[in-house]
Amino acid sequence: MTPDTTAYLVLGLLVTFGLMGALVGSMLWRYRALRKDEQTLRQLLDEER
Amino acid sequence: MATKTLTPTKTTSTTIPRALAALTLVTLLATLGGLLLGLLYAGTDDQQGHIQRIFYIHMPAFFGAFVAFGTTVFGGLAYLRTRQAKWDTLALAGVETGLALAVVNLATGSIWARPIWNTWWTWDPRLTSAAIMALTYMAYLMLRAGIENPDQRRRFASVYGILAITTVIMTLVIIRIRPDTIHPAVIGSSPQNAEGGFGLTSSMLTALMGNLPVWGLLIPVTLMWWRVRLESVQERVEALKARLGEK
Repeated sequence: MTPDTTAYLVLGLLVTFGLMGALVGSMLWRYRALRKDEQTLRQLLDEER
Repeated sequence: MATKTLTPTKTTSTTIPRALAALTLVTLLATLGGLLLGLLYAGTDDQQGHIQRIFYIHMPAFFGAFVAFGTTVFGGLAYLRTRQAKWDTLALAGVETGLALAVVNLATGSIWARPIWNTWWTWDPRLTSAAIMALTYMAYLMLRAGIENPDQRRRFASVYGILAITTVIMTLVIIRIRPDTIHPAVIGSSPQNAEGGFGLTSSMLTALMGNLPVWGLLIPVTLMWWRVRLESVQERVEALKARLGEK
């Protein structure tokens, strides 16, 4: 008889896409933070000119 | 007291290269297609049930990690030869991407093992070498972050990244050289396959071959490209900080 292992498959898919989503999310979060820093630094440089 | 409001006065280009946008779209669609192949097209394994379908991600994710860590070797060698920071950036992108895929490989393997081997984890040679591999690359990121001098950091990371590939190669070959592993060999026959192996039917093979280029090539390349772009913004910010510090 084939065992019902569907719950483990669902868990595996959730973990897989959760991990990949976390990587993409972390890149997006770092990108936004850096862009904000960049704009602030550029403005400070402009003001010092 | 008058306060200045900081408003953006000058913006830099945030345009995504067409090739990257196209690659990202293709990768998303291919990932969805691969998922559907594994879930709907491939037949159900009689002995393992639906959990066997996780294998269409588990094994290709390892090859994706291999590609990413291989890129780290390439980036490291190119940096040591040319001393251009862009190669170190590529190597770093390879480690972050490869590590994510290696963790996916470990996690899906562990989840598969629970109903098939009746345990989440066992100190089998293959599993142990895969864990050592992931830890080696985690250490790369931690050690790298601890070195302040950029040249020293890049030199160290290049050498470390090149040497660390030995853990990937060991993980690949260990099921062929250690007879005491219970990890199934997917390609070729193996006595270990009695412990929960993969007698692939043609629909299963199609699902595997469909997912291999997705997780083994498209996903790592796309993620590395985005990571390189992120690093270029980081470098611009560092340069601006240095300019501001000079004034």
